[in-house]
Parts: sequence; structure tokens; C-alpha cells
Amino acid sequence: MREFADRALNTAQSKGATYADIRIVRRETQNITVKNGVVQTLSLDSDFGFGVRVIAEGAWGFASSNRLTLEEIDRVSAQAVTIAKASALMKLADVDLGPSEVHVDVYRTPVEIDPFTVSLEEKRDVLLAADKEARAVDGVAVAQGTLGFQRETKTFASSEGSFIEQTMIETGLGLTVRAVSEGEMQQRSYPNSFGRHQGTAGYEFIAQWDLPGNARRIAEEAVALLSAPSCPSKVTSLILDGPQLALQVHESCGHPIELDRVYGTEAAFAGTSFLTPEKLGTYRYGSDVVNMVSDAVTPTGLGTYGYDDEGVPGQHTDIVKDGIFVGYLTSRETATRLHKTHPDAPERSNGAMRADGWNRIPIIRMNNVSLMAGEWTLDDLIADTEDGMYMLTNKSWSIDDKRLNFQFGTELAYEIKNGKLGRMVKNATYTGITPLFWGGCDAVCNADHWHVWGTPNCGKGQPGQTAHTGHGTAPARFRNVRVGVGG
Amino acid sequence: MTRFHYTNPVHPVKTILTGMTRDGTFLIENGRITRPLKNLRFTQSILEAFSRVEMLGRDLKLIKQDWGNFATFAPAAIIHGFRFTGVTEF
Repeated sequence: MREFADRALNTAQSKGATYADIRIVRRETQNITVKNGVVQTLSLDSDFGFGVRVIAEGAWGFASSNRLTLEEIDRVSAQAVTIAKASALMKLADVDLGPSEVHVDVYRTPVEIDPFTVSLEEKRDVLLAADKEARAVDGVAVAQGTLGFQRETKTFASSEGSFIEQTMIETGLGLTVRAVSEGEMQQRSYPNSFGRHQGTAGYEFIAQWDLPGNARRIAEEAVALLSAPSCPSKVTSLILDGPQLALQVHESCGHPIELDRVYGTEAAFAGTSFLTPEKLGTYRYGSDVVNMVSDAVTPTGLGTYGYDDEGVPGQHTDIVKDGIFVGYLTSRETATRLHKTHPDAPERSNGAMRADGWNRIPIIRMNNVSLMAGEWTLDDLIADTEDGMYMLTNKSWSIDDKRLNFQFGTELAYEIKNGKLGRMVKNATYTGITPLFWGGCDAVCNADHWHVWGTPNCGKGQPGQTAHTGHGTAPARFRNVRVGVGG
Repeated sequence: MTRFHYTNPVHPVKTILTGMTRDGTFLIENGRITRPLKNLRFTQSILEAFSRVEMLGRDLKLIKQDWGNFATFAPAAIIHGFRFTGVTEF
């Protein structure tokens, strides 16, 4: 790989690049889906290519190819420089990457069992066992389970002298059970909805989350929801479970702290951010018990890696400290820009630039953006709640283009009366405004309840890129929340 | 209302959707645009909304979808009693 990398960096610089990097990426994915006792999907995909990113005449250029030969590297590297020079005609200012980043290293996801060494039969049998348990419950219409595995090997080299080789391994799993009656459809998912829960982990992750052992419970919940009353409309106390809170953190904290988005590069597509730079260090994002971090180092987190796609080490950054907004997810260019106007902000990137494969440029992506654990047990939190709702597992989501006004629906909810869980209710929704909602957070459960949930479907950028992000959460309580919207 | 943002299903069987406005929302009074508004949230059955369309514009406009590679030809419409359920006040 070093020969190919050197060729790209040399060609780019000889054509006029003042900075160049190359990523050579191989991604293999395996997916198995079982629906109602039948294997529906069995796929093994392999994708390989390289991308060259350069700065010439102060502007960015990028080009890529799926043919790794020295001749093709020459062609692609020269094309990236040509694009950069064309982009320079329209530049507002020269790109400034700030201090150089020079790292020579090897990183590999620590796994006990490489999932690509486990037989297809063993994987299929996990799904068939879960399917059988789910469909043993009367009233189940559809059970669908999936296992997914990914291995990505990346070589990164830059003209500053970095040479980094990484192998990241992911394992994911999910089961969704649907029950249907006249005019109504209800579903329950485990461990998380929208396909699967995923982590940077080996095959041991499958046994830890035990799909077959949870299938009957969620099947019974899906059937019971059909005859449950609808969520009442009121303003009340709301307790969210970990998976729903993971998406709440993703949408209302993770996206608005992407500094490229703050500076406007996502404006035409998914929008901008209410967390503008003058708020850094002083703005009250949430209550005193709200502490959020971004990190790329938590074991098994889906946003865990050694280095980002600019070759910056994965690290840990405070985002919200005792309720105050204190940090962004940054790239080298955006961190440098922020530091010029806000000297208290770090001079260096915190390593959040990632690309979806070899044929996309890196953009700022969440790693693991997490709500830190508090003091409570879930039982004590419910016992401490006189009147409220407990909502579990995301079913629908929507948030505005500044990440302020959100509305979520969950698969399952219970009323809380006098410190006890009451009736199950269906079609639960809640809505709020981000800083008011987090300002009403008065309790977060403790580390025993804390997990890093994986979101393998985060969309951003034009052309579109899908990122794998993680979110550590423990259940938390929010006061004065509007629930049961427009049912 | 010029554009909806992040519209997703709340209850697929009842075709209830929720989403926000973006890129310009305006108050119409007595046949004139009188002032811009902060962004609004709607939560509305789309079939119910279509059943309450009062007027359709004559001009069709080609609109690229945000997600996916397809576009829609659509006119402007007046929908009576469209259900806005929230507002962003700052």
C-alpha cells in the first residue's frame, strides 16, 4: 500500500498540490434476514477503491477510482488537483488546516470472535430461533430478524507524513415483530428499531444481546398494543428509555454540534444549527444534570475508531458540561476557523471527519455522542414520578432545519401514576424545543443502565453519505413535556 | 408555505405525517402576503388533507425530492383546515 500511497502524494504535489491525502478503503458487509421462518436475504458485498483529496491554490479537490494501479493513481491524483484549481476560481478564502497532524500507527477493533469466521448456518439458526419464539405468540403477523456484519480496512497517508492502517469490525442484530388488527398495526423491536442495534464488536455481541431470549416478550407487547388505549394528550413528566434517548441525543445534540453544518455547508440539504459560535461556553443547553460528550474511544461504540479520515486521532470532547454548551465536533479546517474567532476553542481538530467509503469526501460526522450517566436507578425514578409517561423504542422522528423543534413517536409507552407503571398505551408521541426540553431534564439513570446504542443509518451530505454513529444513554426524566400530539 | 422539512410517518395506517416548514413561511391576510412567520410543525393525515383541497394552481412546478433520485410535478394548493400542531418561537 505504501507504494500506491507515495505515488498519489508525489503526483499530487508535482501537479501543484500544497497538501494531499489518500484513503484506500476495502469494505465487506454480510447481511442475513429471516422473515416468518424463511431466509429472505443473504448477501456478501465487497467494495474497494481509493480517494485522493488535495489542496491546490488554496481550494479543495477530490477524485476517486475503483482501480488501484499506479497509472490510475496518477490520473486520479492529477484530476483532484485540476478540480482544486477550478474550485480556487470561486474560493472565498484559502483553506487553512492549522497545525500539521503526523501519525504512523495501526488500529484494529478489539474483538473476541471475528464475525466473518462464523458459519452462515450458526448465524441463520440464531434468527430462526428468535423467529420461532416470536411467532409462537398468538396474533403475530410478521416477525423479521436480521444480523449484519462489516469489516472495513483503510489505509490513510498524507503529504504531512501520516501513514495509518485501520481495520474496523462491526456486528449488528435486530428483531421486529408486527401485529395487525382492523385499522391498526403495532410493532415492537429489540434491541433497537429501524433494522438493528450495532457496535464495533465481534460475534460475541450476538450472544450478549440474545435475540431468541427477548423475542417472546416483544411479540406479546406488539399484540397487547393492538387493544391498548391511545396515548393521552397532555403536558406531563416523561421518562425515556435508552434507545429512544439515543435518537433524541442524535437529532437534538449530535447534528447541531457539527461545525461544518454550523458554518453552512449542509444548509441546502438538512439545514443549519441553532448552536452558533457566539453561544460556545456560555449558552444553557440543558439543566445542571445534563452532561454530553463526543468520543471515538468507548469500547463497542458504533462511532469508535482509531483515527478519522483526516488522520486525526479519535478522542474525547466535552460537548455539554453541567448544562452549558462547551464544544463542537470539528474537522481540521473548521477547528482552525473557530479558533481564530474564539481563541479558547481548541486549535486542533477533535477528529470527527469521516467519509462513507472511498468515493466520498470526508465531512463532519458524529462518533459516539453520549449523555453521561447520572445517579438514579430506573425503579427509583419511576417511584419518584407522581404523574407521567414512560416511552420506549423509537417509531418516528422529525426535527426542524435548525434542530430546535422536534417530535418523536415510540413503539411502546406506559402511564405512570403515583410512582407506579400503569396502563400500556399505543401510538405515543412527544414534542418539544431542544433547549427547553433538555432544560427540563431533572434526572438521569446511573451507569448500570448506560449502554452505547448504535445508529447505522445517519444521512448527511450531497451526494448522500450514510454514517454509523453511537450514542451512550441511560434512561432520563424530563418535566413539562407535551405528549400525545395530533393522534 | 413554500417547503416542508423532515416529513416522516407518525401512524402509517392512518397516513398521519409530521414535519416542519422551512425556507420561508408567510401569513396571508385578505388576499395578500402580510408578514413572514416562524417555522410551524404540522401533524396531519395526508389523505384527510387531500380531501380538503379547495383550489389547485394552474402552473405545475418540477420539484426534486430531498431523499432519493426522483422528482414530482405539482401545482400549488389551498387546503382548508390544515392541522398545524406546533411553532418554533425563536
